[in-house]
Amino acid sequence: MIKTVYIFSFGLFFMLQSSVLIAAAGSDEKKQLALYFAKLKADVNLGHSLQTMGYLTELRALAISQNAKEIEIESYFIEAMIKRRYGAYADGVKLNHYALELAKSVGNEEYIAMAYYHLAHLELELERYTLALEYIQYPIDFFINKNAERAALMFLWQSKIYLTMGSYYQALKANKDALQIITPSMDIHLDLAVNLAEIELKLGNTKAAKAALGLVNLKNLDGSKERLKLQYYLALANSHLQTGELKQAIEIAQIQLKNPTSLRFLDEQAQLQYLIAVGYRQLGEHKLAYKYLKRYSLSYDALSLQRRNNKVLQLESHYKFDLQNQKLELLGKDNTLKEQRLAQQQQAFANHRLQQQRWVLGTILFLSIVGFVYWRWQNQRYLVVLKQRVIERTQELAKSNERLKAMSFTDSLTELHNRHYFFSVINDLLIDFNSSPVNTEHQGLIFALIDIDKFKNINDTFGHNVGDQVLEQFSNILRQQIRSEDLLIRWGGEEFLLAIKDASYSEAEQIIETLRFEVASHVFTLNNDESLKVTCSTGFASYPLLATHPHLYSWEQIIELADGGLYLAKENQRDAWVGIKAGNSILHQQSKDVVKNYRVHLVQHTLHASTNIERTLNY
Amino acid sequence: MKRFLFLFLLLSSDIEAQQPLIIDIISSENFSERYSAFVNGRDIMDITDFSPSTDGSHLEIVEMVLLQQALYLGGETKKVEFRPRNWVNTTEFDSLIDGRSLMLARTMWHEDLLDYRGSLYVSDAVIKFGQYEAGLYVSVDNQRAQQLIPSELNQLTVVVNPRWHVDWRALVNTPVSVISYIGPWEDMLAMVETQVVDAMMINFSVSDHLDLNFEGKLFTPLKNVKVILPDTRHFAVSKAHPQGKRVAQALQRGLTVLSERGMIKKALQQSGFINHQTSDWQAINQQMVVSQR
Repeated sequence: MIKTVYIFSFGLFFMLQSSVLIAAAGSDEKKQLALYFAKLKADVNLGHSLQTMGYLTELRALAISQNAKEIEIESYFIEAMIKRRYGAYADGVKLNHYALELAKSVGNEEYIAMAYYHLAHLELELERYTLALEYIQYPIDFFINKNAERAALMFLWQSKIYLTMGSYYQALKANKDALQIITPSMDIHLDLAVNLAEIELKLGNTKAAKAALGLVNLKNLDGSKERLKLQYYLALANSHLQTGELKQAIEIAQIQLKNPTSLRFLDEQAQLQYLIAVGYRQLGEHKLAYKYLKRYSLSYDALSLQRRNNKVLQLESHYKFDLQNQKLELLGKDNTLKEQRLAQQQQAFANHRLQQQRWVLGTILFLSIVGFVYWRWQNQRYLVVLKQRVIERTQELAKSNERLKAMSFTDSLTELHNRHYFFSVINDLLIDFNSSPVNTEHQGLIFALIDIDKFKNINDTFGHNVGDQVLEQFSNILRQQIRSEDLLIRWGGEEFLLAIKDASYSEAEQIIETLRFEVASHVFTLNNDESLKVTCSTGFASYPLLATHPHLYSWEQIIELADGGLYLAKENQRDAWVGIKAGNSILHQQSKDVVKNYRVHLVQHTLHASTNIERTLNY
Repeated sequence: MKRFLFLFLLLSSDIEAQQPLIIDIISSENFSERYSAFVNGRDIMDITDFSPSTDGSHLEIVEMVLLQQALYLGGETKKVEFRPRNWVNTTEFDSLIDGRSLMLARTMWHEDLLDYRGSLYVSDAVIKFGQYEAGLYVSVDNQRAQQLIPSELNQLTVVVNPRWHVDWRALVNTPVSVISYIGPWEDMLAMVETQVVDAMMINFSVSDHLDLNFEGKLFTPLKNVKVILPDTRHFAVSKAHPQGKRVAQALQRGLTVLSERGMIKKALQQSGFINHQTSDWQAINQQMVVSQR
């Protein structure tokens, strides 16, 4: 635990120590930068600008490391100024533009304005006056209400540009603008006075020039104003020249030419030499005039050379500019071409896409149509199939119905028609009798009810299976004996109904007798090869009962009468048949009564019974 | 002896009074013929109409007449005799400085005289600041130049002799592109004719249509454009010449009289130097004038 605290404390101490060290190093660098910057200012003020080149790079590096943008910008200004002064204009332009960009990037309006001021100065030396005027207007506008001395400096340089351009009245006005905003305590008033004198001399206003020069107190000119001093004396000499004070003019000029500083300012030097030549010329000192004219000529040549270099620079820059413009133009054209191509490509692409879309749409449409047609076709086909199926089904159904009907009308054991069938066809059978009266006996329909005798005994004795076999065989015997047009119905249980068409009563008797005989003589074979004798009894009646009144008795009543006959046959003998028909008397009673009381009517002979039973029937 | 001396002085002064004033004219320009044609036997003092009788710049003739009238009006009644001399250009003042010449019968730019004011008497301005206007003459075939609109004047190349300081200053203060050439005036015109350059600054022609016909070649000024030559023009009289002071004083007096009578302006207007046809044309270096105090 104690160990951990130690380690922690040590770490904390170490961190504190290093931050103190870093802070100390930072503050050292800051101090160094401040020192350098102060020295730079002092050197520039003393006119030792060139010496600053020795440490300018280091200073700038410090400024960059400490992010001191203002100092960095100033370092560019100073280097640009030095480069300009010694003729390296291209570098000067480059450095000033660099300073301008930097000032813009940090948004320092004052430095932006100063950058334009330096650029104006450069352009003036490069004799690009229009540009110089444009540049100087920016700092004028910026400083006019902020800093009078700076604004005055800008007006001064505007004035100098006009003066160099030879627009003297404009130069005068700019100088006046400057003078209006300064106070005498400001150093710049010296520059303005000398400048004013120069302008007035150009306009030939010698008095005004002298007055302006009279305002200059030379004691106020320090080391940084060497050129101004020279310009002052040049103007003074000129003013003497213009007023014909030739000797004084020459003397002033000669003193200045002996001053080594004049050698640094070629322009002023040449002007002094020319001034002396002109002075001597007017004094008639031709040799001296020639000497100074020659010197002037040399200086002028040198100036011309310098100017020529400037021109070359200008031409180069123009050439580069033109070249750049040409390149830009070419690029522009190229771009336009590319844009056109691009547009064309885009158009082509768009067209292609449109085409594609059309194709896709077309295809979709086509496929849809094909699909629809196919669907319709399939549908139609399906419908046809369906219809076909419906028809088939309907047919099948009809058949099924038929079968069902047939089944429902058929007795499954004997395969004879059942009572339902009979009820469905009875009206058709009777139709002939309903349409017209029956006059003859032959045209009757005989209803015979045939019942197997003692069938219950068979069932009870041999079982239902045997009963069924008997029923089958019995029905087969009947089926074989009847005519094809006759109707045989399993009436229920062991009872059968036979409808004999178009038969007379006596014919019916014969048929029924044949049936009885065939049954009685048939040997019924059973499952276990046993044989059996079976008899049947039959009752029958003819429809219509009365040929004269065919509708007096319904077929149901006729069957009831036949059933009565069956009873009589059973009761009297078995293996017999009894037919009931109308007696000789006319049956006037209600048919219901006759049928119900058929035994009475048999007795009364209103009904007559025929039978195979040989003894008298017992009613 | 005293008597003889007096007689001598009287004679000599009379002789001096009878001697003509010898005033130089530039031999190469040779205006004698045109001058004679213009004067046409009239008494100089009777000339009040300065309307041109020939095409071409007329300023030289007008100045010769005005000079004589001024001298006369200033009290210098001696006859003036013009002496053609071989002046390379008007800014060579050697003979004036030395007193070998009395004066030149031409006005000179003030700025050329400034350095020599110790040796020369400089008259009041005959042509005032802003009065001197010139056109930018192009070949009539140079359609491109003639179709330039004012904002396109930076595309116009104008040849100028850098020794003509005032011309140079004037053009530097315009939007045109200045091409410097030191050589004969005729060469410069040929440069314009062959379209090596577009234009040259020339005094407006006195012809009605302002066109300039030089040896069969036709030049025309850019329409609605003029340039102000930003200086004044003065006569200069030698201080070293024995007659210099008196002539200079007479000249100054006479010019004052002429100026008061409005004769100078009238002469400049009638001769076409101050050209009424271009009075409403745009001076493309107007700013050099408007700012004067």
